[in-house]
Amino acid sequence: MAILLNRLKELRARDGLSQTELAKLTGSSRQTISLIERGDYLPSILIAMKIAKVFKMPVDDVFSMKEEEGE
Amino acid sequence: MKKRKRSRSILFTFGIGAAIGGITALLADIMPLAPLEREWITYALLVVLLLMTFRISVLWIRSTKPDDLAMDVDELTLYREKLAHNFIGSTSLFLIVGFGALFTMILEWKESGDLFSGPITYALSLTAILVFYGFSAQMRAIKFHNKHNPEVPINLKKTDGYEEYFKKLDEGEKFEEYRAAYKSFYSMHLLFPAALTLLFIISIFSSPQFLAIAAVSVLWFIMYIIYFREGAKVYQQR
Repeated sequence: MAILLNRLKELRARDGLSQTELAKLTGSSRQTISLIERGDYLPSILIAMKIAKVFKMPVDDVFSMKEEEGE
Repeated sequence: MKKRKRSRSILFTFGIGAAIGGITALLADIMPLAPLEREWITYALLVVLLLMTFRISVLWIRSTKPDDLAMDVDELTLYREKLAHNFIGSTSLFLIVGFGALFTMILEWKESGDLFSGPITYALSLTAILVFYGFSAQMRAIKFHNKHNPEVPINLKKTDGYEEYFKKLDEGEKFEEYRAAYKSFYSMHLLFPAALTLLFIISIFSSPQFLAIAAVSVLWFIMYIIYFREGAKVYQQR
């Protein structure tokens, strides 16, 4: 099984953005950003692209897939 | 393999049946159930309601306080979200207990024969006041939520006030709602048969609970029908 990793926390810290501010910039809620950041929720392609656009990076620099060992 | 599994589940069902039978026989022998004291239940509900009144009053006071300027934007948003969630949830639970207490007390009051004085009349009056207070608190909670979440307002003036709210939630918030509904569904799916078994046991050793058994069965049936129909939609799409 594959899992989705993300660099949201690191990139937010780099750009000095709070979860609330990132949520506003992507047109989503703070809860959604928090869920994605914690890895509790897999975002839709649309929201992943919006987040990548805020950080001015390609989507796969923000999100990456990892195959779990032993699968 | 399948046969073995089937025989195991039959054995398991028989085991559960035997265990219930054994326990009920034991209960009948050592502790015959007396009819429940309805008065005791009504006063216990009133005590619970008073404790809950304290809780919602604390949340009400917190909702009127000005924002803590020491908090950063995320801490403040999280605090408001948590407060709105707890306030709406607590007032909803309060109203559920409140209506339960109110209806039980009205029945008790009607049977007491003493309609204008006596402890049950005072308890009933107090409960009615508390339920009214609960309504006011819920209105305040919804106003607080709408003030801080204008993009997902709850409109109680409309019959579909919560439907509108749900439609406006974004994908992560919807995911949370689905997860909560899923947990609630499966918990109730386990609690309904437990409630039916309990009512059946009470009916054997005490007064028959025909209406309660029918009500629990109908509620369980309706809950499962809604789940089943929603699940079936996926097979209708080509």
